[in-house]
Amino acid sequence: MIVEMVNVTKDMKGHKILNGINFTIETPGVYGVVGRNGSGKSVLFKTIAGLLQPTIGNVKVFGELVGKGSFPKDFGALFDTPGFVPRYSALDNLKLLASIKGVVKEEEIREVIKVVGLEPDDRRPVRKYSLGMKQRLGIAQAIMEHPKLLVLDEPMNGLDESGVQEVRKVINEFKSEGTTVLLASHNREDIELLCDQVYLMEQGELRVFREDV
Amino acid sequence: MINLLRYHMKIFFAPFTLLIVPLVYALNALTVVSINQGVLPGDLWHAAAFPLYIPINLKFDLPRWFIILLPYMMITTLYVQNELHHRFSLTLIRSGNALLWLNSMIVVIIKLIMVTTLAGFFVNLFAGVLFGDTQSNMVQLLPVFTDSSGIRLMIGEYFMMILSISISVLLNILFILFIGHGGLATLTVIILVSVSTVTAFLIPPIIPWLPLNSGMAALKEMNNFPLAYGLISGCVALAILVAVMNLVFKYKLEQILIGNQGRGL
Ligand SMILES: Nc1ncnc2c1ncn2[C@@H]1O[C@H](COP(=O)(O)OP(=O)(O)O)[C@@H](O)[C@H]1O
Ligand SMILES: [Mg+2]
Repeated sequence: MIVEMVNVTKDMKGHKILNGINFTIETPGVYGVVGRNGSGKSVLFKTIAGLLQPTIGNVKVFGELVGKGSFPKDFGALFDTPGFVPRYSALDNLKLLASIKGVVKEEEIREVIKVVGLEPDDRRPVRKYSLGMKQRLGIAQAIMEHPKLLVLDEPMNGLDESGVQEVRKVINEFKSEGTTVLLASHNREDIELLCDQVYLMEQGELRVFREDV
Repeated sequence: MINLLRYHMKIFFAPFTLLIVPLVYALNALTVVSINQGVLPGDLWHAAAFPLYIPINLKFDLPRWFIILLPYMMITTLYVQNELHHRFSLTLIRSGNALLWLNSMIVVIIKLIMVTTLAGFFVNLFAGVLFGDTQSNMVQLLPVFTDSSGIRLMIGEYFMMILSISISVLLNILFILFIGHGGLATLTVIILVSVSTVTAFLIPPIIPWLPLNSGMAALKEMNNFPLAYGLISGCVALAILVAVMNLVFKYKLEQILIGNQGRGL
């Protein structure tokens, strides 16, 4: 079982954001979650990442409980625009992050930076990057360790057309490598082009929206 | 754990961090020199220890202690806030376990305090070389100050300072975890240190049990409590503090990440 959410309810400031969600992913693929702004897509993803704690129910990733300070193994994620160390270059930022797990080498990090359309030898500090460039770097950190589960929350935010194309390509490559990708997007095209299965988040509930055969 | 230690070290041990603390020690030593008519009383070691012996005079020495304390607080506040409110999804998740992240940060912070404080002490030694004056009778010295060897004074003060600075800094972080606001947290610590110091003046017998004051060795020396008292109470306080931080981090992680600033998770 890749992801297993059993009867997960999440209250925030008195509002039920997730309402008794049962959600499982058994086979690798690209899974999309759609829903209007504020419907709880990010809360759902952060609960899977272990950053938010279910009020009721529990979440397992690769068979292990997450939450209460435990995070999924073999996992990569992009939420919002991540905060990099502003005075470091893109490469130094990724090297620093990679040092925590120590599973990728500098050569691979350089490669990933190229994949998202940035320049590994660019010595400029990330503080000087545009929002789009930071978003690309955010995607690079999510994928650089080749996780088995990749969670991308609105990865196309702030990207221009070429950025969008590159991210689509990345997602398709990961899919062909057998990675499971969870993708939240309000862009219809992303969802139609990329996803094997699509869920709709509405009133705290998640239901199958479209299923490919 | 080793990798996480390296991660925290890499960001903490930056040129700015390593320079600001010795700079503040220089400022403190120069202030003391300037109010003592250009000299520090005693031989090299006594002269070097002299600017670190605070507080004897509440109004003047307590602010001096805060000036020394503030860079440590500032550096760690910035770090914790950036990590928890901006880098959480990058760093915490990779660490696999939030408590590993927390405890490796605590280890690195204490190491940082030891290294930078040592640098600060070298600044004081340098001040001792420049301004030491064995003929000086201008200052009314505490008997304990003249009775003990200068080296003993310096070593005692070093460990007491490391303990009380560590306790202040970790308290500051604990308050950040609770109230989510670095400025308010630091203010709270400053108030606590002030209260603790005033208490020490009012009720001298409890001085050994006020670990926030350990750095102000003069208080202990004046009342003739052995160094070991301060070290033991300091270590106990530090251990309790770390345990509380672990509990808070484990059970309140979500609130900590969301913060009270509406920064949003
Ligand atoms: N930190 C928070 N505190 C309180 N409510 C929150 C917080 N984060 C999100 N919410 C609420 O949860 C709901 C879902 O938010 P979110 O998951 O960000 O939606 P989406 O990603 O689908 O746009 C919103 O109503 C939002 O107000
Ligand atoms: Mg969202």
